[in-house]
Amino acid sequence: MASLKLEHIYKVYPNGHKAVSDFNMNIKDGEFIVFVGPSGCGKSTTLRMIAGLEDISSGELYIGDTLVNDMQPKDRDIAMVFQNYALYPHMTVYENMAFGLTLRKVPRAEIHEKVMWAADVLGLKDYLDRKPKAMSGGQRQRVSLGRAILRNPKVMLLDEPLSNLDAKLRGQMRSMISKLHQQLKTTFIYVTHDQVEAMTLGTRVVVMKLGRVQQIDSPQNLYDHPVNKFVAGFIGTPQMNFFNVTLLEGKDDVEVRWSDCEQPSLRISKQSVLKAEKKYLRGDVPVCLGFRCEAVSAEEEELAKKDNIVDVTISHFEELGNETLIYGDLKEIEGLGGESTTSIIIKASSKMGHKEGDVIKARIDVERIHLFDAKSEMTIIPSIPEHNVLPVSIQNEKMDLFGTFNKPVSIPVDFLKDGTISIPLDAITVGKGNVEAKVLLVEDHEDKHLALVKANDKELFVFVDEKVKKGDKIVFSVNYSRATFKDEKEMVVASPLADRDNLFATFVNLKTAYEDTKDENLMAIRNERVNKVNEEYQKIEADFNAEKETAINEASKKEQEIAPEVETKRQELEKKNKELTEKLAQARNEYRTGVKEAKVKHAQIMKDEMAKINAQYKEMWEKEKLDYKESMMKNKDRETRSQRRLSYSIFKESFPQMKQNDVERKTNSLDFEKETELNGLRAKFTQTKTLLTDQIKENKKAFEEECFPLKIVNKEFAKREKELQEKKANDLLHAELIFFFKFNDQFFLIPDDITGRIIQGLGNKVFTKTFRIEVPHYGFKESDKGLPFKVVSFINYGDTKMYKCTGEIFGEKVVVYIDKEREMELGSSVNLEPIIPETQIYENELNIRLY
Amino acid sequence: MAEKHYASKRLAEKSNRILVYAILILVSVIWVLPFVYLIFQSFINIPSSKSFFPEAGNWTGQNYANLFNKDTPFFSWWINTFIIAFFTAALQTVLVLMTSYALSRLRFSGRQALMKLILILGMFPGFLGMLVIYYILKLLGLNTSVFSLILVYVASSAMSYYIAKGFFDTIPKSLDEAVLIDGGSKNTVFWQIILPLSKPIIIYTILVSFTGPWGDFMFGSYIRVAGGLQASQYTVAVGLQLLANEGHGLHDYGTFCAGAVLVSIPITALFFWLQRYYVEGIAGGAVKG
Repeated sequence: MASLKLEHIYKVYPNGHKAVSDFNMNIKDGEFIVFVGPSGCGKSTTLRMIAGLEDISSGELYIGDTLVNDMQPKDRDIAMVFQNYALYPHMTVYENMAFGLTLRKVPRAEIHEKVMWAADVLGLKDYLDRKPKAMSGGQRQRVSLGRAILRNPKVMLLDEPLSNLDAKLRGQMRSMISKLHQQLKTTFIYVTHDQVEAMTLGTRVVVMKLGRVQQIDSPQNLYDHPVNKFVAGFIGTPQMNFFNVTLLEGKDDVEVRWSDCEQPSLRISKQSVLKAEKKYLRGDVPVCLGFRCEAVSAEEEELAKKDNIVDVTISHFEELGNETLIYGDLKEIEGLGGESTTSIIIKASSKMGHKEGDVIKARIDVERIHLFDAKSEMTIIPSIPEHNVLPVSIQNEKMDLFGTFNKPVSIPVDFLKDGTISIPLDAITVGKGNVEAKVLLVEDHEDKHLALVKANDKELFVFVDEKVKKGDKIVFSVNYSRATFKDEKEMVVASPLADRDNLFATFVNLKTAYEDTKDENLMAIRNERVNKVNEEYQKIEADFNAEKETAINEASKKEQEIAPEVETKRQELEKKNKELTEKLAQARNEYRTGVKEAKVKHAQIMKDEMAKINAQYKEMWEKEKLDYKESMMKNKDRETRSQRRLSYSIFKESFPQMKQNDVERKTNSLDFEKETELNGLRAKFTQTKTLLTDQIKENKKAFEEECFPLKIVNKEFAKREKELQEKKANDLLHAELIFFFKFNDQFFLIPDDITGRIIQGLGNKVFTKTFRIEVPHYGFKESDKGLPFKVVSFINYGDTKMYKCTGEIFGEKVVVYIDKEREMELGSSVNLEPIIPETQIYENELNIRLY
Repeated sequence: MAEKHYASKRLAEKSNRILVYAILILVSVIWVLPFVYLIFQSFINIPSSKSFFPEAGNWTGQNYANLFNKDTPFFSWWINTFIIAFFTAALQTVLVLMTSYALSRLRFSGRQALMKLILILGMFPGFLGMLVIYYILKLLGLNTSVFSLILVYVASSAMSYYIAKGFFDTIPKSLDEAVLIDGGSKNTVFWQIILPLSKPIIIYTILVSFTGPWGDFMFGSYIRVAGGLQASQYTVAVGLQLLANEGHGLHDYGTFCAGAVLVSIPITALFFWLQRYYVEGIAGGAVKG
């Protein structure tokens, strides 16, 4: 049982194809996570990366608190269930389930107990001696599940486990998996392309498309609040109805106008589009309207409400027994109809006496509609909006936003009338600053709290802490450096400053850096690191030697004490082991006679059965022959005679095949019985055998431990010493591995953990790539060895103040903004060094985030 | 009407079958005839008769007795060849299976190119390299021993990976993955999962790599002449050729026939015993080969 953390996971194939891009997720202990999406969306690849069957191109995967990127699958403590079961065909069910534990050298008795437990849970007790090919698909998948659960893994991975089963079995297995999860309380990760499985099984569902995560949410939230048109269309059957519309804000409500058909507009409340950007409500931006088939009704009582009613021409029905789906169109249907931008599906309890071609009225429940941007396909009513878009005017160095106040000096706009400002939510800091506001509404979203506040006459969303209640008064400040200004024609007049400045660098090792600079300081870094490791190990080695000496002394003392008794002990051991060997021989004999007897028995049974079949067919043959002769004698009619002759010749021809089929059927079933019995015998014998041999080995070991402790101790310490030396060599090697980012001819040391991640991501291609290092404004420090920059201007955004500096890296002009307490003189030079742990590092070509 | 139709259909089927059987019988007679001839000849006292079928009263076991007298070291030839074939078969089987597994399961750079290269190399007859092979053996000081043939035969064994690789390709990869997750290594996969499942292909490989050296004449003959081997160091193929060939001290046609019959016995027995697996092996490989 463990949690999982996936951070910026990428899978990039050698040809540059990105199968998975920037996968981020925290999975809590005991969750049931389902990855769902159309084929080729990267869900299986992600699962296989978690399993360790695929390399992770970049990013970090934690199981529990351990980074497992470079761990072998067997060390990750996971179990996996495959779509094609992947049972070992030459082993019985018992051996299949026990295989993993046997490889891990778990004691026999424990294995037996666990296999029995798993077989009990999954109802496989009667099949333990069978081989997989003698079982049905459902049973095989149960064995595969059993093999996975009996190891009690931290994480269970299931890769489309039900896709090879028929519909009925799939239902049964689904509930079985669900029960297993409740019983085991292990973290499950389940991959499927079937959204029914996703919705019924998952505590959270990850919807993926083309290698990107679309939405991670509970099944209900996915259904009720899809973040984009893809999720809305993918989740739920039948598919959601989509239409092209425009929205126009009126005085009391918002009008939804149909773009592709002549139907009365829908009316939705202003409250429901509160979080939507105002540009969508002006009537000229195309929007996609979506609603599910149960949100539209043709029933009388709904129609009685009179509002939001449309005319639907029925194209055909789908009767599902308890309910009926009415397929129709908002326009007149031409020809056979079919899918169009005005098709609609309505769920109804019955046909209600309508027939194809009828025009009926249907009411759309506007509480349950979804609105998406027609271009980006993202929802326009997100649960947490990213920006506040507010009207703004600027004139005479004054800004009219929350009341009129002095415009922050550095906003590069002198005049703006009826413009808009778009402020990201995280650019607003609540609790400091001088804009006063009243809280109108607070919503909780997991760890965030979203509040709608009113400052002067403007309403906007801000993040607040949990103490803030509706009706409270708060203050906030705005970081205008991150705001976008647009004029009345939607043209951007001032774009935000980026959060981070981009620097480009290459990756070099110590040798290259030293040869380039001949800087002894670089070598000094290396020497210091090596010395540190050496010192560390000096102490460890001294401790180790002391421990070894004491242990050896103790052991030799013990050995001397026991020396006189060794002979008796040896005899005892030999006696004990002889008994066990005899027992083993006896068991072997029993097994052999058992097998022989079984073989004889089955041979006899086979012979009897064959004789039976032979007799039966002989009788049949005789009877037919007799019958034929008789009827030939009796009948003189030509037609009948020829009929009879024909049927006789057909019989003669098909007779051998009939017999052959019967014989084969019988042989197969008898063979199967025989094999099962033999497997049982063999399994029993193997179990006794391993038990006995283990015991013999243990006795011998115990004897040696008791009588010759010195030998044991020596062996143990030799092993430990070797390990210690290996570890030291490894640490020394690491101490010498030092890498730098090279900007111009300056080298900046990269911390070890970041080096590790970069090399992990790119392998030996690391030296040929260019890296984009994104440095936040606070991520520079002044240092003698830093890159030379020139301070060109002072940026004042009111509450946010920065200096703009320019410099050159690899012949390209670079502009950075630095956030410094110190006052700097304009035109002065400053040497800046990026603080590498504060930065984000990307591989520039494929745009893969490495750190 | 129905009856007529049925009867004519039956007639067509029957005549069809007769034709097929006739061809098969003819072919098998052509194939078996030389062997029958050989058996008969081995029982004829040659100088007196050259007929196909031994005349009554002319049956003799002398040819078989000749094989084991002092002049003809047939027994040493047989043993030499058996040792060579046995070790070649053992080593070659292991090498072929391991190469096939590697080419089937591991993805390394140059894999495709290597497979194509081997395929092309395999199209050249082996004896093209005979001179070079002999010089290499000479360099190693192995040219005077008949057992250096083991090295010659085993050296090219990885080239016949194709059928076994085809067979391994049909074993689902998820089995490997299941083992890796269960706690095994690639070694566990190969020895504990793949090999037990590959019985037909193992037997096929053993058979092929045994029969090759068993019947090979060219290398054996070359090394006999170039290495100056003594009569007791020959392989069966070389020895029998000398028996059959006039102008050598050993020439004796009847003894050759007897020797040929004895040599074919172990191989025939082996094939009869393992023919089921042999067919399965070829067919199994052929699916994706």
